[in-house]
Amino acid sequence: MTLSFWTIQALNALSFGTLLFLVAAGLSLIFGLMRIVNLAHGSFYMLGAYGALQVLTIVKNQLLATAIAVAFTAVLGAAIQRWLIERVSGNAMQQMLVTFGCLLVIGDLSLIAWHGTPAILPVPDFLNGTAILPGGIHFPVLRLAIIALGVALVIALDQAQSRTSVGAMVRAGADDLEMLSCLGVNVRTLFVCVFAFGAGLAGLGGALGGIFLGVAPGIDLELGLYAFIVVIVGGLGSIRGTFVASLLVAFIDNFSKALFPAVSMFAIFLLLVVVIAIRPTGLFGRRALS
Amino acid sequence: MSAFLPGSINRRTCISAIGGGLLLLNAPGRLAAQEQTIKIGALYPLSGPSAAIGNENMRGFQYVMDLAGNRVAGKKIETLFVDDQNSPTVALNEARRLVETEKVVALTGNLNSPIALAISAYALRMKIPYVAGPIATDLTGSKRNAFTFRASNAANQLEGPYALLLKRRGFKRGILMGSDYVAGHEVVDGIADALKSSGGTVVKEVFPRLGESDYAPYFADLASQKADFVFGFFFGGDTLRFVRQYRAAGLTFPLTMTAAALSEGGVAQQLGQDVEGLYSQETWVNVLTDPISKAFVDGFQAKFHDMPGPLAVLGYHEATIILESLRALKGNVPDGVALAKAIQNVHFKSPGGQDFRFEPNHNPLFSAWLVQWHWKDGKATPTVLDTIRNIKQPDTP
Amino acid sequence: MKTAAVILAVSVVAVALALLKVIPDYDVGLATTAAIMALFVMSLDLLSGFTGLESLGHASFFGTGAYVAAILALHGYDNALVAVAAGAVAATLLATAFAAIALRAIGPYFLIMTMALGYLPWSLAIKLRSFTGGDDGLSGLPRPQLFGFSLESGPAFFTFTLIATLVCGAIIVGIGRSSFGTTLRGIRGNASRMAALGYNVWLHKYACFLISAFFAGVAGALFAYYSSFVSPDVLGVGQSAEALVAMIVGGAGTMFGPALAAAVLMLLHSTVGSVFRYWNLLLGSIYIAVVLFAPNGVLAASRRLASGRRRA
Repeated sequence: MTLSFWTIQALNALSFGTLLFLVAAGLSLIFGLMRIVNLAHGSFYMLGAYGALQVLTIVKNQLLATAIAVAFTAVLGAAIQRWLIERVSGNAMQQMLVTFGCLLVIGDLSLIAWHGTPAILPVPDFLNGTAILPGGIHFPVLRLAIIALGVALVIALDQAQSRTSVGAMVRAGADDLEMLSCLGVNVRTLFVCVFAFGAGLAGLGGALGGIFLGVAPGIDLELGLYAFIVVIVGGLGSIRGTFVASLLVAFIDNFSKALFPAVSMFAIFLLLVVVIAIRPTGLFGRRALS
Repeated sequence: MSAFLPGSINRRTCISAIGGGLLLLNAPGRLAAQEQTIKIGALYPLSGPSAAIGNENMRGFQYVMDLAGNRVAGKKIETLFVDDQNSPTVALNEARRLVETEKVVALTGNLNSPIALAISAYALRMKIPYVAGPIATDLTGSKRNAFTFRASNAANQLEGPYALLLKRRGFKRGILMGSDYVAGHEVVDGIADALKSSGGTVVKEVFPRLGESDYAPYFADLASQKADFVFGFFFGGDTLRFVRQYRAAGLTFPLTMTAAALSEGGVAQQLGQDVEGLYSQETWVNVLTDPISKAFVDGFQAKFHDMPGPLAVLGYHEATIILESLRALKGNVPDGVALAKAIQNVHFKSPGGQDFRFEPNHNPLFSAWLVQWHWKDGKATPTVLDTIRNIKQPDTP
Repeated sequence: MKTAAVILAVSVVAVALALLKVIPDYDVGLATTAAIMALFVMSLDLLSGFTGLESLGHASFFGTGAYVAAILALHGYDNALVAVAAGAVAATLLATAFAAIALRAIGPYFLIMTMALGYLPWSLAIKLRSFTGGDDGLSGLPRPQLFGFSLESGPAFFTFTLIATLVCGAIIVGIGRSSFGTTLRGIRGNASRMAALGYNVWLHKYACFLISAFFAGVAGALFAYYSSFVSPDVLGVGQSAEALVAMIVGGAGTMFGPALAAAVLMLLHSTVGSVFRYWNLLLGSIYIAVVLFAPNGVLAASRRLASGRRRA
């Protein structure tokens, strides 16, 4: 295996990893603050992709289409949190049931709207083509862009969490919700905003991922599963943990396919089992969980 | 304690609800007995990932039936279309309902191997003819029986024509890729054999898992291989990803795909520029110029405002088989054995010009078209390069 | 004991009607599936509702039972009791490993962990094609015999299934009412307090896992024989999820509620689902409606309604 082989594989893994981060970050945030296991998270990814596809039939600018699709998923997320999940806050089983119900409903509505035809988003012109990197390595521009975006987002989110007042609220809320509301923070609005943000991130993942992964019925479950594995491995509620775990999952997934294709299906689960055996709350998770 | 003993009112209500439900189920069966309609059961995946192709399959069937006015030999035909939800449990349940409650005289449809195998076993037990799609090679191979027929090519009928293409293009060294499931392995193995027997070499065989999201890791290794072409056998959305990622990876080997990958569900159109130069083998293309194809395309477009693909033709076959066999029996179906015999002797001309008739193993002869795709004026356009007729399923008695 | 008497009476009547061919075969088939699903969900309720360990991987045990019975059937082992027992034992063996790993995870991680673990048997079933038929599954399974009586016919198999379900169901309910069951309920309420009281919490959870896996395996084996067919679907997350939501809809921890909910949902699926194309839409809406209007399960809500009417 040449150096270029390893480099390409590493870059691939990095690009897939940042996509996973986009999807998983929202899930992790939502759980960290609200203790909600959102089984419908993959649905936001799917709606981001389908949404962008739909808007593109009217608007030609793909950036604008993506923005609109992301806004749509964020608003939908806000609505689901405000009118459905909020009613059963604190009851994990009911939350599971209602988010699962949303997963099914969104899935079938998408089928009605877009007929289940496998689709793929077009590559925007400015992201088209293959870049030639030092060493004569060919790598798609699109994937490089996703890496750049992902890294920028991680830094932004991390800074936001540690430096802004909203970030402080989220961190405080994750520690002690009652105290936070005593301090005058409107917890309900905070929850809605965070859920919307998480959903929007997943939608962004969909609008971007849809370009090279396509979108079809079932992708909500597929990406949803990846996201769940990432948050367990990384630890619910930690942005850094989610990022590290996304890369870890992507790298193991990628390299097992490249080197041991026969067992690549199991490699991720092996990672999961090993991590849980060593650190039950994930690599960066909090040790005690109320 | 009280948590375990629900109030007696609720217990009774629930049980009577269930009982009532069971009684209600019987109603359609009783109704059917009063009319003189011939009923056919058609199971397609109408939801989930296969929804697009299931719907197209169904439409092809509907088209033919509607064209015949839903009548044959003076009797009314009613087709009960059912969504199998791609689940063998659901499909089997529906098959039972269709046969035992609705009293259909034949079952047809299906694009899912385990479902087809399960239904075939059930159909044999109930002695009802079953006309299946291009799945589960065993249906007309090791698991064949007197009641199961196939309305289209078997998966392992594809390799022979494909070998011819390779030979004519001068492709000798191939990297073969297919999704890691039964059909994927069958096709790749078949292509490998065909390639070797025509003097070529298999450079590498790769089986990404079914529904793989990211094929890029598999490509990194390929660039350094000494090969003439890459062959891919994928399904639905996987094809889109595969081709898109293949192009993005900058690989220059001619890429070839096989039947029902490119002309199905608008896949070619979705690929945009990426489709340029792709080869594929198709069981039917909508640009064919024979009169039956043209009439079918025009009629289908008028009715559904959509272009038909090979799966609509599959539906066409299924419906025609049923109609022709019923016609031969003059609308009187004494039992499944007689209907099966009539199906066996069916003979008609298929869109594309192939003579459709069943071999002893209940598999039909089929034609294949070798096609190269181009992206012209915002449309994916196939150009027919070659036709091969009367292809048999290998290992037929 | 009134409940038990009612159930017994209804069962005897159902069996008689089936055997006398008064009920058509198709409906008998539906009743058989309803009984199997009721048992499966009851086994899950013991683990998830009763003990509070919500699992999205229970189909692993159901499917293992199914596959073992299927493979035995294909190799000519046709003794019904042996096959069902073998399936149940195999499922329990799987649980010894599954539970050990899953119980490492706490809180919400447990749910996701069980979901992820559930993918392993499913992937194996697809991979080990020569053994399990891969994603084509194993079809054409012959029905077994019991003490010389063939269970080939619908009514005969229904009788066997119903008896098995009633026996297993009674055992599960019995476990719930025993002191072991009380301990489990205590663990669901407050595990750390139970530990402080000196109970070996982990061991109780582990045992509960194994027991519930056993009965899931019984249900799975019965299912394989009923369908004459198995495919990786029976091990899938979809199967697990359906069971878990049936449990929640029926009322977690009440055992009878989930059993009824499983049966009713299954019947609903067979009747409505075949007419209405968008079954998932309907099912999802039902789940959302249940959460909004009947958060403690449908049975509790109907009880509230009934008592409300009486008061008014």
